[in-house]
Amino acid sequence: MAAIKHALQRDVFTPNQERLLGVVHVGKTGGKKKKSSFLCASVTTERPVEVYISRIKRQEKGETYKKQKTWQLKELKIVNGKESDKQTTDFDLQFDKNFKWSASSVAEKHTFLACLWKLCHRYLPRQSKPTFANIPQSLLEVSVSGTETSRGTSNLPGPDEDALEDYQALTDQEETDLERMITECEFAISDAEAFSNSLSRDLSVLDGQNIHSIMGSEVQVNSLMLLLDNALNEVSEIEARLDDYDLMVGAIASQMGQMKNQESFIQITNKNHSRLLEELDKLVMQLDLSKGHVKALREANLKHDSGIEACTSAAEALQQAMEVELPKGLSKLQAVSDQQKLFDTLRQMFAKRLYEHLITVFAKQGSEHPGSSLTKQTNELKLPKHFPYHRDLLPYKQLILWLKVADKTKYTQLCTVYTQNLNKLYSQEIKDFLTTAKQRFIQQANIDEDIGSAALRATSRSTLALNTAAFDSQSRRLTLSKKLSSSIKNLSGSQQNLAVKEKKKLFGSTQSLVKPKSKKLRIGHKKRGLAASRESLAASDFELSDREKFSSTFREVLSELEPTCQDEERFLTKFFHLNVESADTMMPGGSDDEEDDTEQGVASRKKYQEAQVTKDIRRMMTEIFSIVEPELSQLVAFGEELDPLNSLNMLVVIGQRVTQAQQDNDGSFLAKMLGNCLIEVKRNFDNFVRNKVDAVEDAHLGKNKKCGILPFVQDFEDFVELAESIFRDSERRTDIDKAYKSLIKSVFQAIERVAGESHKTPPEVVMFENYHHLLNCLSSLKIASLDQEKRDVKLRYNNYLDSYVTSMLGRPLEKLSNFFEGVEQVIETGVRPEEVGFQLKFSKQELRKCIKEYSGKDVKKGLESLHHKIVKHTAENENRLQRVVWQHMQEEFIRQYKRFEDLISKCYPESHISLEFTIENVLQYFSDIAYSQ
Amino acid sequence: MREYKLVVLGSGGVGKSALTVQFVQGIFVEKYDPTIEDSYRKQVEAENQQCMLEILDTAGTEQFTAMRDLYMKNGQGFVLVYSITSQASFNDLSDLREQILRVKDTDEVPMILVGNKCDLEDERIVTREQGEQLAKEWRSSFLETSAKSKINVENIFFDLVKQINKKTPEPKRKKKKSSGCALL
Ligand SMILES: Nc1nc2c(ncn2[C@@H]2O[C@H](COP(=O)(O)OP(=O)(O)OP(=O)(O)O)[C@@H](O)[C@H]2O)c(=O)[nH]1
Ligand SMILES: [Mg+2]
Repeated sequence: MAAIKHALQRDVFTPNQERLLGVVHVGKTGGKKKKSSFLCASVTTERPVEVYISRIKRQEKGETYKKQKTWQLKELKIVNGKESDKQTTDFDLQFDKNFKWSASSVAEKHTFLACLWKLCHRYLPRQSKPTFANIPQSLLEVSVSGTETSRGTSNLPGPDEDALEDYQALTDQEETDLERMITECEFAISDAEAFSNSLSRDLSVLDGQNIHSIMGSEVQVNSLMLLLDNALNEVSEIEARLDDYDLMVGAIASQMGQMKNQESFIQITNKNHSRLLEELDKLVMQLDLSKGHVKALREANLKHDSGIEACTSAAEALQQAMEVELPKGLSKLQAVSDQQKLFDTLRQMFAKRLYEHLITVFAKQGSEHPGSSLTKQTNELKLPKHFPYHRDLLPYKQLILWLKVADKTKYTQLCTVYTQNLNKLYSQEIKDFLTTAKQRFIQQANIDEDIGSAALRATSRSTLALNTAAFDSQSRRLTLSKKLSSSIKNLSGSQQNLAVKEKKKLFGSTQSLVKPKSKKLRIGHKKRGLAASRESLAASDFELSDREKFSSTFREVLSELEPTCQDEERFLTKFFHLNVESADTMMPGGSDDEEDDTEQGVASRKKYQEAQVTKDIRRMMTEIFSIVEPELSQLVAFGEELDPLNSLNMLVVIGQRVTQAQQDNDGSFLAKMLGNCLIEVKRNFDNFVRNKVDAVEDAHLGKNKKCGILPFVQDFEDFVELAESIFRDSERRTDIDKAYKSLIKSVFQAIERVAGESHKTPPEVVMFENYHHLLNCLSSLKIASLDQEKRDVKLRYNNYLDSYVTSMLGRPLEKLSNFFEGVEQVIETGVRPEEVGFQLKFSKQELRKCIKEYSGKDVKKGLESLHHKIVKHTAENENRLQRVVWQHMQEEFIRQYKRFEDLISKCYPESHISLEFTIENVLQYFSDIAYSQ
Repeated sequence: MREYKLVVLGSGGVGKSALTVQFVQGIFVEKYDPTIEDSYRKQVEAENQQCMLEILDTAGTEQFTAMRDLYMKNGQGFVLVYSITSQASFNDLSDLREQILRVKDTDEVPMILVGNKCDLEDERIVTREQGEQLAKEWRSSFLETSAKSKINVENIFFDLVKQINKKTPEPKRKKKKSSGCALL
């Protein structure tokens, strides 16, 4: 063991400047392996003293050792000897965790544990000493007393440590001494007692010598003491010196400290200064407004582009400077507040200057009437373009944006002034424009009259009652011309501001002017009424183009108005910056502090703002164009008065525009206004249709007149033809389809009713004639929505034609008909046909007698009178229809003829009986009669 | 014969025209043509009396809304229609109702809330309960209808007639001839 300890000290600890104090040869408790590790307790030789416990392993081969783990002694928490009752080699050491060991012998374990105990007592403060458990008390006590004794003698660890040692390597000197001594006493081995005696003898001799030398050294000790005293004195002197130095150094140190502080202060001040400077620089830069800008704001000429440009950039700079976010309190700086005041006055001054300038510009534009006189002269249907105004104003655009931000009230006022000015301007322009338009309508109408066309208006056509008294129609004309003249009067009156008296005069004169014309008209109308349908068709052709003129003029009016509105709206939006970006409208209720920043919230806010902006624009537009809506609806009324049929045109034209405007922007002023207009037109249209229906319902037949095609049927045809030409591809088809339906329904009813009233003409004729006419009309026009009605008409036509034919033709060969009816009855009772002839009543003689009564000549005569009646019944211009009827008669006649022939061949076979005339004869009669007419 | 002026209101495309035409003519209009304004007359027997209903089918399109005030003034009973397939059409009605009350200057007007297109159950967005709830707030009647499948169409108008009779029993005075739309 000692050898191992030695080796360990040499190989492991000495290189680390440690001294090995205790070692135990251990293995893991319960481990079957050889005990190959050592637990060592060691202390450092250098101060401060550290105590380590380390586990060291011997390499398999050779005698080298390796430190595997090292703990500090203070890490040791519990030492468990596990020897409460019996001795064991096992023991535990608990550091951060518990390690179980087993020593190679109990003695070794005890020595090691005792060593640990001692070390703990020596180097660890009381409170952090590990717990020693289950260790024989003796082991611990001994060591404690040992420690205490050593403590008593000296504080230095050296000798004490030596006392701890039970083994010290012999020095070489000692070894040789010992060897010598042993060789001197060769007997020692043989006689131990003698050797011990000699040794003790030697010892006592040595003791005596020792005492002697001690006594002898006393003098030297005394001198040594003296020396020591001297040394002590010296030391204390040096100490006093050192204290002085220390004091001096201390003073310097505190001075140095102060200096250090001062330097950092200076640094801070410096930093602050530069920051302040920076800040001021920034502030000055931010708040600085160059002289040029100030000058521009004060006196730049706003009339020229360069001036405007300078002002724009100056205003922007001013705005920027004013918007600078100053740190709190900075505005209290005199200079800053002065500058701000300056800005404010500049702002106010410039806002005022800009405002006044723009107002004069607006006023100038508003008072100029460019081209308005021109328009009147050329009678051209054009609205003056505002493009040059817009061009002149647009350079101010940025300034307006500035104003909007800088001075909201001035901006609002400016908007109002602009609106008012333009309102005046546009009102005048649009009034003039529409006056021109109306004049043109009237001129067109007049030209038509001069050409001598009988047809002025369809008002008369819609009142189709044939028995309408001439007086009635005249009065109607009169009211129309009155209306016309009053419109004319309005045109001139509105501008010239005539006195009431003069107005009356004018009115009277115009009226008298119109009067003769209206008479002419009336006559024409009457003639037309008599001349019936063909002429009216031609007239309707003419009116079609007339109406086309109206609608094209109306279209022109809208095409002039629309771009004007749109241009203005576009300009307005741009010029006054009416957009979401510069909108400052807040959501109502949406207080600022709880801004909803979710995507949805942002979206809904945006939508709200957009709607708000659209509304703002519309409000301004409505104010500017306040004249348009009433003027337009007046125009609509005017057109309607001119000719109710114009409602159809207007419905289509405006309907188209509305859809267009809707696609562009359905919240815009134009879209709304046109929408309103369209409703009015639609009402006129409905009214027109209702009047037509009423007229049809009121229609009556004149007393002693041949009926022919009823006027309202003709009118319906004309109306549908006309409406189709207008509505063909329009989006408002549904409206006209609805009108057709209600109209045709009333036409049906009226036909049946009037037919019943007819005296001269048989009702069937009235009906099939008129249904035939309707059928032709519907077939040629191909109106999908009236398909059902077309089928209905066809059915009615066929029914009435058939019933007319049967009732007129009746049984032209009456007796033969009776005879053969009898024959058929007999056959029905079950008699075979060949046997019919054997009955007395139906004998061949009887048959021959009947046949004789109808000679070809008689038949032809009868047919001639029949044809005469038909011609009398049907209208004279309906030749085609007469032929159709005649054809039907012929077919019916031949049907009857064939029936007779058939029965003769069946019942009287081989009797060679035949009628007096052949089918060929019959056909000949019919065609002869038809062509003789 | 007593005349009843009824007005049908609601957003575009909810089926106002379809309902009206179904009621008046018994046909379902498949095609969608935005209405400008249409009026219909129909004679019916309601509450054991012959009545003449004058029904004004209005435009739902935003553009044609400026004339509303006038017919609201003239109307006696109002049909407020939404489509159960459109939340927006449902939401729009509150403003309409307020406008009616404002124009009429009362807080009770014969009125019925109608959720149309109830045949399109698959596309339903507005629940029946939402409709009922709104009607309750308004203290008005409520029906879910389909112009296509002829569900509850007649009930709309009969209910309104009943409401009008209850609010204003037939005046005993001489009947004034109804004045048609006056020409300008
Ligand atoms: N499935 C179904 N479709 C319907 C119903 N009612 C209407 N529609 C359809 O909805 C569309 C619009 O119907 P309209 O009656 O024209 O709508 P509106 O309310 O009159 O529209 P505006 O006139 O623009 O205000 C048409 O295509 C109809 O066929 C319904 O009850 N069920
Ligand atoms: Mg509709």
